[in-house]
Amino acid sequence: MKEEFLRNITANQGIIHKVTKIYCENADDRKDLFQEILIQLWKSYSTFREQSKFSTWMYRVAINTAITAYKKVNRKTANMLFVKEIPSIADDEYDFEHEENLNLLHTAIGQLTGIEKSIILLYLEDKAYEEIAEINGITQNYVRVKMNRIKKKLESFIKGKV
Amino acid sequence: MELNELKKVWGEVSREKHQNHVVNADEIRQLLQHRGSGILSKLERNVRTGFWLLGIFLLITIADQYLPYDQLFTSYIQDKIPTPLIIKITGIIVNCIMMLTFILFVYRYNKLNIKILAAYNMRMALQRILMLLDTFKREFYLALIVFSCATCAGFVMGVWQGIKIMPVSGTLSELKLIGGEIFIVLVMTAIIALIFYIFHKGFNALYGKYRQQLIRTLNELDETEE
Repeated sequence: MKEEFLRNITANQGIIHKVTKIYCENADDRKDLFQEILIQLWKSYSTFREQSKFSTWMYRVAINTAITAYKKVNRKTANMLFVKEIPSIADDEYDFEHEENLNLLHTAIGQLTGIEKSIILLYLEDKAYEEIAEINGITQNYVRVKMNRIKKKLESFIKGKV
Repeated sequence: MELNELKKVWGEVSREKHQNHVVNADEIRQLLQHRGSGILSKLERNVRTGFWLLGIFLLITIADQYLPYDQLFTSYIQDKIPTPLIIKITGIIVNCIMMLTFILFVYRYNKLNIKILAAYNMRMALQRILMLLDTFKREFYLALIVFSCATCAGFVMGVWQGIKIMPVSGTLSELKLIGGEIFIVLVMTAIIALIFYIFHKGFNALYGKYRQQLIRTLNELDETEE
């Protein structure tokens, strides 16, 4: 069973990375959360029935673990989430616009609550409302209502920044 | 920047960063051998530790009441201290309550299945984690109250009986004895209040903020679903 688990996790580890990126403010927290999600996945592995997709089950465990361990990101550190090393001015290939968009994306996501983060993550991952609802154990109607609020929240934040 | 652009940026970020963090099966195996530092892992460890501590505490408390000390320590205890019937009955009732609470705790612990909390849907997971935290808190405070009361009652009774059996001098009046006893009770109350405050602060520092955060998240879910 453990070998099968390891195979599945190695193949789908991108899900854990994405969840840690949305919920954590620095590399150390991301590492801790990565490990915690792995542990919870292993403990819950016996509950995985093939009625749902492996990725759906994995998102659910990862998001629940992240929400319970989630610490509110303060605005100062939220900007540091995706910042790469400081670029050299002489570096012609450096894409400042892309960098600016990254910072904006993360500062915007940093404004959201734990549940909103889980919904926006799944939306950004192109998941259908049906799957978002299944992962979070909520109704599709709730996802729609929440998504509208998140859009408004993000748009007003982005407008204020640009 | 529109939401669709956000999606595009997110796609780029996911690809870039993911490539830097590929973890292989051996590393995953190693990570699984370590202790988790998240609240779910901590909860599991703490409740399991609490389970054993409460069990041991319960056994010691019951054994303490029924051990024949006067026969075990004959050179120290010459006279058997008489225990009033009401104290005996109260002791039995308290023991029964403690036993029942402990059995209830074990039952709830098994029912909650803490190991797989993360696999439930979000609302159920949050409700169960909160229920577990509240049960854990209740058990913790109950054990603290029982321990404090037993210590306080035992100490006061011991001092009182000691003075009655072996008076220090004949000059001590009944009034002075009562005054002294009240002073001792006040000091004991202050010590117990301090212990309570320290444990209460410690508990809140460890779990209070998480509990509040989980309640907020659950309220947020309920609010929109209604």
